[in-house]
Amino acid sequence: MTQASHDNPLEQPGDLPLLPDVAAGDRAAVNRCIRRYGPLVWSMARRLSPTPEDAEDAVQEIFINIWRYAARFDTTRGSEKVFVAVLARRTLIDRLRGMKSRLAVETPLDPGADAEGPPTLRAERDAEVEQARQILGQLPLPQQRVIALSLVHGLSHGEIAARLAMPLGTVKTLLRRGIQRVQGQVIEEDKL
Amino acid sequence: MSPERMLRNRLTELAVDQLLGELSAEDAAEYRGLRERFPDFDDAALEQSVAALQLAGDAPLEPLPERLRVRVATDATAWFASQWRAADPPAADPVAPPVAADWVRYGGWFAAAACLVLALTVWLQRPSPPAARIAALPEPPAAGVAAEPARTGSPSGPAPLPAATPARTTDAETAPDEADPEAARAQLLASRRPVVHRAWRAGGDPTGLQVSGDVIWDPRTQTGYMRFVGLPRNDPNVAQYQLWIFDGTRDDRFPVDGGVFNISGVRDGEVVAIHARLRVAVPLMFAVTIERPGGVVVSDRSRIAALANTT
Repeated sequence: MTQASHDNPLEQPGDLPLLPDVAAGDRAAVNRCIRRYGPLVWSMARRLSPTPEDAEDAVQEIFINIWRYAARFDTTRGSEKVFVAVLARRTLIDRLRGMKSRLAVETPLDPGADAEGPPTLRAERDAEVEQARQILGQLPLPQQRVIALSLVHGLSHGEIAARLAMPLGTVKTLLRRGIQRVQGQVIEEDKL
Repeated sequence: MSPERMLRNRLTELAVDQLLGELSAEDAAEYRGLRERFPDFDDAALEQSVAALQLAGDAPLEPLPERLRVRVATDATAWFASQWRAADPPAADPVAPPVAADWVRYGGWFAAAACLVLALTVWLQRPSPPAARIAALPEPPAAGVAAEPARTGSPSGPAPLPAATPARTTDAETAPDEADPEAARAQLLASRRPVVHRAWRAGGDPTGLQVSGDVIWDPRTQTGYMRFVGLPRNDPNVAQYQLWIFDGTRDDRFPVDGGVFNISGVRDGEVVAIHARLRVAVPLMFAVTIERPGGVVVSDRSRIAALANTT
């Protein structure tokens, strides 16, 4: 890997994981980790934090958790990016629980609007995410929208139900089934 | 659908709610019950799938602001340095590997963090206002605080101040499960969890000239205990001790309030529980100041009795 690629936050698939070196206290790896995952963590924090100031605090807390748990990353159990996203999401949800408030999302609420947005950075692809993307693409459109509104844009179940004029129970079911599909649990509930 | 399948689906639904921060108080009990019924349920895999789906949504990513990147990098410096210190091997262990490798690995972190702490220390000990400078002179005993450590049973110890009240440990907000901080401290040390463990040193105020002891802090549970030797007892009606925790993720002008406490002077080695008002992500330094009864929201730091650096 070249130094130039280290400085590029959009590193390509196949890049070596950084977290084992981070866990060993490698300063260069830590700095590359901040550059590689900073945009992802910051973007997630912006969507799931009530204020920009809180998002900044959240980013700092998330990265501390990344340093703390770096040694637990296991390359055989998933991608590094998903590992980081799990830690980020967990931290953000914990903070939200603590605040007992729901945020107003600052990004466009319509998932389709993303395609028309500025050519901002996009999450790099890796096998695990690509598989999820394929499964997502195979789901019925209403289910895709529910998943995007919930997981990507941070809307509450109630907000999604109101926005899509859909019963709350249906929102929950569509979310659950979508996640189960990604887990590899084939759902054939109608036949059971 | 079989009842078993229905229950598993319900568990998944509740687990998703939990992951998304939407689990209600009523559902939480049901969730716990179903988790006990299905111990093989894989929460971690579910969480991983949620994260993968979220990333698959291809949301636009915003570049990390440069000033925030610098803050994150600064946090990393402090955090890794504190980890290195926390992982210090016992020096007396003849079979322990030499620490040179750790120096190579963490030396840079330590050096960088030392610069941070130096800046904090200089700032803490900045020129005080006139009243504070007077209070720092060694002659007059600090108001409300004995000039020398009180040791019951010590024939050479100073006479206790008349108004001194034997205080238990901390302020009125002491949690019930911390009623015995000495036992809680021993339990935390015995747990072998990674904790920050540092020694007290004098902070500049004559009150703390003979202070020693230590402070331990568990970052995971956000709990900690201070053990003081040589810190004089105080009269809570006149002055109280107050702990401040400097967090590497926060502006050092605003350390986290660690609680107001009293020293009874009944015996040395008194243990006091820490009551941090906010989460402390990277404890860089602990400082004990002497404040008016009830403590203050912002200390003028004119009377620092004890300090403990973590780097």
